[in-house]
Amino acid sequence: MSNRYIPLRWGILGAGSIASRFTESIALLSDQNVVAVGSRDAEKAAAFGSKHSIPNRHGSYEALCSDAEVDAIYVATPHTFHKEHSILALKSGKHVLCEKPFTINRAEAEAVVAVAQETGLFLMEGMWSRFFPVWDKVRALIAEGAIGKPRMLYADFGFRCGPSPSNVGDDGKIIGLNPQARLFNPELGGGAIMDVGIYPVSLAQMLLGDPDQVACLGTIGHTGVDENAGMLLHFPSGAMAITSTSFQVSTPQSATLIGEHGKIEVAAPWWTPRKLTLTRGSESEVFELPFDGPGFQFEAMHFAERLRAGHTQSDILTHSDSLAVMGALDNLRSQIGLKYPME
Amino acid sequence: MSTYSPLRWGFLGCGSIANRLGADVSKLSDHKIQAIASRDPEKAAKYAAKFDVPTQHTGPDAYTKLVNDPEIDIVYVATPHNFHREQVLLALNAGKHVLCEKPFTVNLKEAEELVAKAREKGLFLMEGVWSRCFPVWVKARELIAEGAIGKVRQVYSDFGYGAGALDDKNQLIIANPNGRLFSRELIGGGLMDVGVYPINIAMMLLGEPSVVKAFGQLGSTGIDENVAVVLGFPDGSLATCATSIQVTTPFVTTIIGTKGKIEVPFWWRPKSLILTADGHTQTLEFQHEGEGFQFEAMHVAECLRAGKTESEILPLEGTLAVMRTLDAVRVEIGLKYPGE
Repeated sequence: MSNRYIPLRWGILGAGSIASRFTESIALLSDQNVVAVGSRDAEKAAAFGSKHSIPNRHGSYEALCSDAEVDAIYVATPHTFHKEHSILALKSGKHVLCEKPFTINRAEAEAVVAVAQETGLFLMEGMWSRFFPVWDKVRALIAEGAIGKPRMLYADFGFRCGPSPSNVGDDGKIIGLNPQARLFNPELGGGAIMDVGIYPVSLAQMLLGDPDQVACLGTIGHTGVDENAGMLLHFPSGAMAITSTSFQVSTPQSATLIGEHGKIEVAAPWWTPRKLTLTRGSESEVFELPFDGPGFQFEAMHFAERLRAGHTQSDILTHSDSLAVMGALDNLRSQIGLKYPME
Repeated sequence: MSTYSPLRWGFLGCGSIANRLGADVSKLSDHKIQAIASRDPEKAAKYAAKFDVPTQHTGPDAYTKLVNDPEIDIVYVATPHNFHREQVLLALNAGKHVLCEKPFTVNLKEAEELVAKAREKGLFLMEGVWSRCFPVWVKARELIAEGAIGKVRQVYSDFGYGAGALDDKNQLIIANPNGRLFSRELIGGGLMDVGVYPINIAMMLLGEPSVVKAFGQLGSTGIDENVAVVLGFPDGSLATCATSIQVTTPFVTTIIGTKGKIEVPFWWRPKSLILTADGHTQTLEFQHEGEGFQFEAMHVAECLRAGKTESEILPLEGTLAVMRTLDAVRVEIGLKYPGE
């Protein structure tokens, strides 16, 4: 048992840009290897494999998940396929790290979690931000009581899409978007909330617990998905989170947690952070926590460590955490009338 | 040029805000704090000595005497919010122009009454949202109008300060429940004390919201201690605002447009703004003496000298819209004041 998962052998399901960045991050780790890649398009799998020197290249997801040399599957397809592909991998006996958002909605997430529980395999959502050294430090500071009880969180994540110089028309909606593109296509679970709005929502859940109420205002654009939204979350402790997301504008991408005795500011981009500032009264302390590569190595290290210890889920991002985030996203979307065609 | 030069102020109330505004205004050569009114003669005398005020109106009818003083041009109402309606009406009925401290009134109904009275009398009336008058905000408005950051789509603004420790239920431990900040009777709470600022500045930038959603935590005395607000505007732009008397917020306003952003630190009495556009970031500094109440006083004088009955920086319709929004926020968080 002692050598099991050393090295941890990954199979990459989907050969897009996020899969590339994940693979580059794994290359930084001595005890983890990407050994296989699978795509519906055999040529794409071959190209991805040769670019990243991955030995096993599969022209189907089924073949990838049947690869005996693979311990764990990283699901890197668009959100709408996460449920299907996570379940495929679990039922094939593979542990699963599934890109965020975990699924399209809470009902799908529950279905995936149920399969993980049945199979006894490790399952985690790839909300990679949680595992950066800066957020480890923030959790430690809060646990030590450095800022007292956290009462308010501000966090945003939006980036500008559309033509330059003008991207928003007189109707307040983005002009000239490609309705087939993943970000803007309702069939692929598009929209700012599911693509990047999930980050501040998940951050709030990590720092303040499961929200008991949410409020959302936002605009649904010409392609039928949300593109500018303000989201409030309320927690049983009375704490609150003020968050926003957008495809119309690039937001500051900063996060500030305010407690009774001080505040913690995580410098932009807070979702892949390198620096935090702790302020108490008039005194500030800066913590610089640099890293190499795209940053996916931290979630992969955590995944491997817990898996090797015999766990079936993460303690930093539990199944229950992912379900709470998906539930909050369901409620946020319903407030602005955003329903996906498959729902 | 002799009209309103110097502008002769009558201050109604001599509490902390009257002292702060007085300190800045008393340094202006073309302004004069001509009269101070307080029911308490000792307080009035102390204030008069501090700011070299010629006339003191004291005793039970101090305020009536002040508003009828022929040597003053304008009344500055500097009492707690729950007295604003009564005292602004007193001044307007006596034929005096009025600058009234924020929040303008307790609710929209009261505000409408005051606006109607000012219009009926043809007198100047303005809510004292001093933040709007600072050079930084003049510049920010210009930059936005020029299109420096494109179309404004999101505004974030906060103003909260920690007023004590929390108990096991995460509510403030309140030693003095009858104090102005904590008493429902005196319209206490974070929203009306400092929450009015971010809502006001967001509305200066984006107009009147068509939708309001909010969460609020009420404390042991029944007033709000923590409030989060999201405002939706007819053009699809959004504002998120935070206010608190449990915690001290960063004091930041960020205006995010399709081409860039403007950040204003200590935005309610700012000395700089940070403009980011086209990949460049620049800080524009605007130094000033004192706290900065002089800008509001100077703006009021300019309006009066130009014969205006309201300010273009904060028109009465703008004040009514803010009061309407505050009413809507309070409905959302279940906060009603006595008598409502």
